[in-house]
Amino acid sequence: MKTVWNIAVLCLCIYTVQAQSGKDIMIKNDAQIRTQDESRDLTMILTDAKGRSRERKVNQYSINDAEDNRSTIIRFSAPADVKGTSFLAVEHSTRDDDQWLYLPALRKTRRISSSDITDNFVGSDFTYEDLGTEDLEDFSYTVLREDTFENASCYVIEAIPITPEKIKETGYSKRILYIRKSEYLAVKVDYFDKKGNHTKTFTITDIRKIPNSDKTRAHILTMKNLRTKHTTVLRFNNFKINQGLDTALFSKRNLEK
Amino acid sequence: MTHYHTSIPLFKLVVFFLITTVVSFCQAQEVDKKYRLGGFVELDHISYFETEEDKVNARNQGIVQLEVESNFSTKYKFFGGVEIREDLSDPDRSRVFIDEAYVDIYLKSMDIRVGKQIITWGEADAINPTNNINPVDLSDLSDTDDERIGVYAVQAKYYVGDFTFHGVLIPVYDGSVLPKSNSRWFLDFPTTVALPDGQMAPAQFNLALTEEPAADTRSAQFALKAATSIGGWDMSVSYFNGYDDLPNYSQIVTPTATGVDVTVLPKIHELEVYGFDFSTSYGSYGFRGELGYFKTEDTKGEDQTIDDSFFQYVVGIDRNFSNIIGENNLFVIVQWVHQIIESGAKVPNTNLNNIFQESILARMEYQLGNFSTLTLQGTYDFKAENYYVQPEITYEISDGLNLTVLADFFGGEERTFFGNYRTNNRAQLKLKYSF
Repeated sequence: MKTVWNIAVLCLCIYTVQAQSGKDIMIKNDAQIRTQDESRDLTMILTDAKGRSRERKVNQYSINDAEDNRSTIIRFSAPADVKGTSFLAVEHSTRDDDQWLYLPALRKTRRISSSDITDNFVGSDFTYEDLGTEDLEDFSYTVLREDTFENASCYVIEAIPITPEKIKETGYSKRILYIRKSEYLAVKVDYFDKKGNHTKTFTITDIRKIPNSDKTRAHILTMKNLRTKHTTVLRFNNFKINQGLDTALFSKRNLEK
Repeated sequence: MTHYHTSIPLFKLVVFFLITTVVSFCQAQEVDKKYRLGGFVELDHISYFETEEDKVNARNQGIVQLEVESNFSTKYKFFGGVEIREDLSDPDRSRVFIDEAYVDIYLKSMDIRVGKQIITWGEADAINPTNNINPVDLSDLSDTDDERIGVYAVQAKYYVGDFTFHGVLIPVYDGSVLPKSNSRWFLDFPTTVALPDGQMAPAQFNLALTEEPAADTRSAQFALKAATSIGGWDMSVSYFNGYDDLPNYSQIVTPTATGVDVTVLPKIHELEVYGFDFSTSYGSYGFRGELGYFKTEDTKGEDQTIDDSFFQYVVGIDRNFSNIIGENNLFVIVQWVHQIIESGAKVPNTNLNNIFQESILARMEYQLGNFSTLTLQGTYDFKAENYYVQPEITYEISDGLNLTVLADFFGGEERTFFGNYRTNNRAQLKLKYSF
């Protein structure tokens, strides 16, 4: 009887793994990170190979509109020499993105060209690709194994770009993602450059449920650049999700206020 | 013309008052956040590679800029910025100066700003034919900081869909600041002049006070702009009706026993500017352009004492390159500036309104890690064959504390704008702490 039970449990496990394909897991990950709107305060700590650090503080707001365009506004509040600098990006689903930068010293809002997704985000070790949401059709997701990370059970998934456009624009040949089973967040990601070298490692800690929402967020994100020995730590607080942000907030008018 | 003289006792009194006020505001800030306090302290040194007699051959100055901004209402706010500057090498530059002081009122579809303010129009970089509202501090022609001077004005922006309509009223005229006679940037008058018969005669030049528009509402100026952002393009058309911020010059020549006396008469004239600008991007490239038609009082080019009307346009392309030598970023912008005199007359580029006639301008910024930025910018005018180059390195010592080392190099034939200053090559050191 015990043997039958063991076989039954084994079959159930196999069934579960098969049911939870890499794509299925990433769909749940995508559902966890996508929101209608979201705001948060962020402290960015940049540390170079010699241990010298610089700190940037920003407030970030984002919203998705009815046409699936995503707008983000970022305001720098520290250090003082960049305080007031603001950035507005509108990611269009049907054409090139619009981006504007307001520089208070020049009292001027400048349209700026879209960044390559492989560009670093404001001098950090994160690229725009690392921080953006991904189209799940652009990658193949293979479950390599199950493992633990920081005592949490995870699916280990290999993500490889498959569409010609993504193969061309991405900075990576593959990523190894550790997706925590409890809330489907990527708690660790190893990035491999186009030559297959492991170049960066991303980890998250301080994972908490956001009040008044069904979402969970990491409050500390760390990206280690293994090539340059730079590290960027993002410390988040004051998360607000699906609070009904006004679309007027995401305008050139508001950028200059 | 604007003057900045402040007596030293008053200067010290005002400094004491402002510092006391700042401390009070700091204490207030700790209690609540109704006010945001900021500003910077800057130490600035300049050495010229060659010295000139009877000129100020260095700059050794300190600046304290204090700024306060209200933060307790979404319907209005006020902002005030005061600059305190002391120059040990040129006490005439010491001043206490209101940089900006204004109140913002936010209505449903309109924003109104009242007070002393700097209004910046134009999509191009550095050279902006549509940007004519504020006068400029040209006392040091090579200062690369934004040297626009605030004007007392009422500015309204009305928002309708994708369009924004701007209206600006400047009730009283204020002109740009020009170099004083002891400045390296003041071109000395010649000691001889050519008489009608071709002979050279000794000359004594005298510079008269600038004849300016009335210092009341009879010199009111206004500007209008309609701007939009549609389909990935930012565009605007604009109109300015007022006065040139720079004088035109005429002269009276009086024969004397030993030669001639020449009295130079600067005068401010009326000016209208019709403008258009745009910016867009395609992939990683940015494109921008600006056109201005400067309609002076002499549209037919018949009066030698007034600038002829002219067109000036700027077109440019920029791009950000990532991961250049390591993981450093490089930003490059190149612009072409062309000026067309409506009468077809040839005008010297020594006139401040005609410096850039057929010029290429370029700027490269190379970010070296998280702490340093190398910048190289310059211009060359193909018509006047003169140039200006400025290399610069900025090092971020700590958060908010920056050290900048830069140099200015000028070249060209004599009687070209930059050629006239080819002995003004110099090095500059700036230490700035922002708080």
